[in-house]
Amino acid sequence: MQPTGSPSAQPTGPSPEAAGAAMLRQLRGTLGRLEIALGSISDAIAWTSADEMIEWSNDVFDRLVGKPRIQTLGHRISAVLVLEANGGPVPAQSHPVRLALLDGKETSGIYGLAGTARQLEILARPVDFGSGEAHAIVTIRDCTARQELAHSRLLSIALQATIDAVVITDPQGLVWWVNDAFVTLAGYAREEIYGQGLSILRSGQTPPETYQGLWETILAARPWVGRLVNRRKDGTCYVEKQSITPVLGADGQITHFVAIKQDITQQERIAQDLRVKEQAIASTQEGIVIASATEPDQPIVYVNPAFERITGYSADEVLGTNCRLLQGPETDPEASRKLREALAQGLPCTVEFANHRKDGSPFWNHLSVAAVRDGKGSPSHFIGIQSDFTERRRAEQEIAAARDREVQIASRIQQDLLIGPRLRSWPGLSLGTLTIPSQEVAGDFYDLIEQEDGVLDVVVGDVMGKGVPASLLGATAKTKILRALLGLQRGPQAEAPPEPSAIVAAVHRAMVPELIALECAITLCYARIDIRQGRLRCVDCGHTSVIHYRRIEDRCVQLKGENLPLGFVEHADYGEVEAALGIGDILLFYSDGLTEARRGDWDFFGEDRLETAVRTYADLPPDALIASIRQDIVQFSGTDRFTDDFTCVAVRIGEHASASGLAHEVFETVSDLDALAAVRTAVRTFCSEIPGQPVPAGRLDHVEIGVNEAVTNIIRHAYQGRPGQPITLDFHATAEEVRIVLLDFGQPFSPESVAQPVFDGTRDGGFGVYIIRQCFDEVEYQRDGQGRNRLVLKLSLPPPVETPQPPGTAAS
Amino acid sequence: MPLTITVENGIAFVEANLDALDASNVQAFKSGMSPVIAEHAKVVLDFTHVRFVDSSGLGAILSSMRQLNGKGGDLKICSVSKSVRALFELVRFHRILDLLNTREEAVLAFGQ
Amino acid sequence: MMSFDEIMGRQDVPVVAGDEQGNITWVNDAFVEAFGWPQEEVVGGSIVSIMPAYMHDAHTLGFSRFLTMSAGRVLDQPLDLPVRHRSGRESRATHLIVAERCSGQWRFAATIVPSDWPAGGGSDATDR
Repeated sequence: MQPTGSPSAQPTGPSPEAAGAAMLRQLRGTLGRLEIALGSISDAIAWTSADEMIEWSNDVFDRLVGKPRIQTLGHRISAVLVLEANGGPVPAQSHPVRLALLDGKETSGIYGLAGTARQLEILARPVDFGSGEAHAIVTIRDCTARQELAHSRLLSIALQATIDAVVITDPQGLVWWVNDAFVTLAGYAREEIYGQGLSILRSGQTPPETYQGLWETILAARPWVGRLVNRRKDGTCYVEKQSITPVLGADGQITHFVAIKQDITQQERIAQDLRVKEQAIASTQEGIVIASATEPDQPIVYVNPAFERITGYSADEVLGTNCRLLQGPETDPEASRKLREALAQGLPCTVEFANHRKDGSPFWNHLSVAAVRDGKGSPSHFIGIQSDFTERRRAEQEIAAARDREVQIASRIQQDLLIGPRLRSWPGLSLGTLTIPSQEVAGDFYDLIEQEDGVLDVVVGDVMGKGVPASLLGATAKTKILRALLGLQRGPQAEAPPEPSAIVAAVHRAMVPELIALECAITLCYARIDIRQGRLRCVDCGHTSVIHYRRIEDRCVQLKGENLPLGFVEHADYGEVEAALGIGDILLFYSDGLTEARRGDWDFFGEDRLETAVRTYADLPPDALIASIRQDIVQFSGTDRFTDDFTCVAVRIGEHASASGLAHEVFETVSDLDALAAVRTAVRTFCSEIPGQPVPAGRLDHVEIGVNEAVTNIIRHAYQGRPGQPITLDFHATAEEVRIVLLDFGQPFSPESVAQPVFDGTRDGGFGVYIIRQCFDEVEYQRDGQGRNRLVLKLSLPPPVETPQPPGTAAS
Repeated sequence: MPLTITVENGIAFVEANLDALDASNVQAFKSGMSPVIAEHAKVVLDFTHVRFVDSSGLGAILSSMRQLNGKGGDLKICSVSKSVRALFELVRFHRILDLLNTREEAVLAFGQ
Repeated sequence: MMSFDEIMGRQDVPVVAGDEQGNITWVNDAFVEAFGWPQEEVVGGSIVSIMPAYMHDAHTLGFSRFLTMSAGRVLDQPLDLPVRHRSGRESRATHLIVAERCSGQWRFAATIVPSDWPAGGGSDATDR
């Protein structure tokens, strides 16, 4: 220091120490203000060393971490400021401060403060304070409220969008907010409902106790759930499930009620529907079983009470098992198989088969099964509906058996009436007949009654009404006719046969009570052919006309009368029509089975065609004439099975070229094995009664056997076992031979087609034809021009025994 | 099927109480014979009443015979009428089967 | 509550005194023994010399705040704070800091008792 001469050169400024102290004071003042300022901001600030050690933090930070600065200084910030993200803790290495220090750049993010619900927006920035080492400055802003706001915005949108109706009310229950779903549900617009109480929705169908309970519960700050019936603005009602949750404020007081309403009207309706259906299933008489289609072996999942009753199994016993437990040894395997296959393919199926109850007793089960499919179309369940029709079946079987018996009996009756020689050779007439019943028992009938030489009555009739009673009537009609005749002839005075009209009247009187009671009627044509007088008299009662072929004119006329069928009225008079008969004339009596044979829907054979046929075949013997007509009809209708009885009698006036014969009989029978006995009798009768030369006993046996075999073959092979079909046996005896001709309308049958028999006992077939050949001297088969099989059996008769020569005349 | 069955000395006698054995009743005959064949080895058909047999009846008889033979047994027929015999001879049945006149002869025939 | 003079008079525990500039004005023998700082090395220097580095900013700002506001948050209460020994070792010690104005300036005194300081006194032999 150097004092100078200037007496006024005194240092006036502060000394260096004082200047330093003043500067320090100023600096400290600034720092203090800064510290206070930093302490007053709303964000938290801290800074750390390069090692994350907190070197300073402001008050907000200290409050945030809940510790005074003294306790956090020098500690790692990641341990002091513990963060959460995505619901889990943020590990130290992911702490934003560390990240900032490591990466050397700003790191920011929103984190939750661990242990609190606060959301923090954290910004960590690495700064070099000039020492060459980076420090981290961290600013933290509490954004909890903002997060909450965003969150609540989301919630609000969710509330708005939910399909359930949401209502928020104040503590008094006045509406504060509703979502769109509420508007849709209740029908009230927001402006109509805000500030209102929800009681405007009351329908009056909810019991008052419900509302009382509701208010008690929610006012006690407890949530409530219940069912209400409400009314919309438009007056329609609906059922809702409502839950109300009270919202409490920080002070524990109710600030709002949040109500969620679900429209369960449809649900309840469906549930009720289901209950009704369940009840129906439970009470129906039919057994219902439901099985799972998806689980192995289709276990039963449900059976109704009717099932238990029908099968004897309780529900517990069958649940989980397969339905086949009802099947047993008597079950038709075919039906089981059909059922299994249908189920495998998921197709519906109905079977009727024998099942067994729990006690082993069988019952007839009518079972219908169908599949129920899921949304993808695969079967999810099978439903089976079953009913026990054992009783019904038994009844049906009994009825069927009874009907069979009836038919059998009726058939027998008719056969018995048919059996017996029907036609004889009438002098001055030749006859042909043919009856083919459409069902087993025919309603048609005919009869031939010889009154006296040269007078033949022909009766044809038809019973109107079908079935067994009708045909029995037909059968008894003939008996009635005969009895009527007998009755009328009783007097010794009666020499001439009674008049046809009288006969018919008598028959009618005898039958009308039955006819009216059975609601049947009989059409009848009673014709008397008088050869000597050359006259035909006809009492026609509603029957088909008689076709009369007049040879002289070569044309046909139809003879028709005007009487009512028998049975129409109680009392009737009967008139006759007459016609003159010439040699060669033909009379055709027929039933409407001929003329009503159809082709297609509208075409009938008809009288015209029949007349034409008679004219065409007029030169044939009557049986061939009828056979030809039959053939024409078969050709016309395309079938040999007639829908109506086919009855035909053809009479030709004047003998057809008759052979010199000793005896001639025509015998018509039917294709029933039971008729064989009668056939044999007829054969024996004819052969043993041939005038002058009866067939010797030994040969008679053979003829009987042979004809029996031939007829059996016709029944079995030509007619293939069809009963009731006509077989004609024409017996003709001359001095040289006995000729038996068998005619049938069956399949062409040639004896040659049958295999040869074997006689060593190893085969028991094929003897028939062999026997026939052995029994007759000639056997000839042909198919004639009228569609008939014609088998001719000839027996040569031995020449007459020569009278012994007188002795002396020796013949070598 | 009117068959009267009596068993004597191990032989079953089947008396056919029918007039004819033909196609109309041959099935019933077979059904009637079936239990007899099942239970016996020696069977005699007594045809006293039978007046007529046709080829189907023959076949049934043959079938019965074959079944019995198969069991080691045999079938014989007795009291056959003339007309029935006529048929049997026609088909040479008498060579396959014993036709006896009486039951006693049939018993004797079994004895051999 | 200890007064400035009372603290200054204690010999049983380490004591340090400082001025408004933030410098150490005096330490007692117990202090020298406890922390290994010879008087000539610390007296006249900043108080932060006996603090770990990371405390410096906090001290400076807090001290400045105190001087500005004439109110502090660390006085008259025991505080568990770290102390830096001469050897560089840090240990924790209970601080009790008092302040009073004298002649228009602040002056500070503090007892700094290490956690392992024996009741009757002791020394930090390793600091020699």
